[in-house]
Amino acid sequence: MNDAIVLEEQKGLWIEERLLRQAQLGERLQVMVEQGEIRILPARTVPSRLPYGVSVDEAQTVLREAREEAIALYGGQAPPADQPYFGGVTWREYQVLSDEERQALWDKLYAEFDVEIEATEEQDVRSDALVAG
Amino acid sequence: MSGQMRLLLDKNIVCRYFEGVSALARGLTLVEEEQRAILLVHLARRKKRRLFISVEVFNLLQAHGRRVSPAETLMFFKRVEVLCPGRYFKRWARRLRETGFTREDAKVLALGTFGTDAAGAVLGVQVVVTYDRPMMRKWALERSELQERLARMTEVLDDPFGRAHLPDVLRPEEIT
Repeated sequence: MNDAIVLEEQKGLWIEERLLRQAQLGERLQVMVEQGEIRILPARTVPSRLPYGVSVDEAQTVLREAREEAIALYGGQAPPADQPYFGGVTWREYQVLSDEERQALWDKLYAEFDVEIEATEEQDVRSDALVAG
Repeated sequence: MSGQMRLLLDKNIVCRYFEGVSALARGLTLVEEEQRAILLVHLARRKKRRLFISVEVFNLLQAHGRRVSPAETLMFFKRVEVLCPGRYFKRWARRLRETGFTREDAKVLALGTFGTDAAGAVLGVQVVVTYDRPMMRKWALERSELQERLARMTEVLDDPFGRAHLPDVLRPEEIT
């Protein structure tokens, strides 16, 4: 259900708690200020265990930089939700797929490029190659 | 001497990376697996790790990623390299298939031991990074037997293949 409301700015904005609960934003919110819009989103809670043992602060910085990099590559604005995505569906359609459906979709794409083990071409390796271990 | 630590990203890590960056670009909340995949990829250089993908995943992204997720593909490609099958890859992948791994898993795990970079200057990776729980469970179960099989296979091979090594199979948050 959508509630369309108009808020008037005086010395700030007051959004009723019931509206925030209705939107199911959770207990922690993130306010994103963009040109011409302010978005209130659920907080991006960073998982407790992170690759390389990085801190939550460092993780948040990296994620923010990644977002900025992506937005810049898309010409300064978010790509549309009806943009085609992997597997012949739009990005919006992809979002409602279950994990199993997404995996099946990627498996199907992978199968296009999979080759039999015996048909694989092996490349030369130098005798002084650095061996993992 | 193994040099800089090398990580091979399984397809499901790549999938989560693309989903995560696409969601970030649209200002959406990320799930934990997406966040970890992005952190794994974007922090690698700073943490002195080399990241690799298989030829199959590279070809998939070349064909589809560039068209449907061009920004994400550019961001990803500038941070990863392709790990190619080196000599003895096929023999080891066949052994892994005999143990019951799927063809895709056998190829990824064999690359982890007998994969090489474009210059042929490395052999194998220290870690295959994945979210694939069945593969991780099976690897943990079979590892000691596979270690023995690999030792029997490589004891008669010349360098560097005589020193070929099994990779660890870990989730992103287990990478230190």
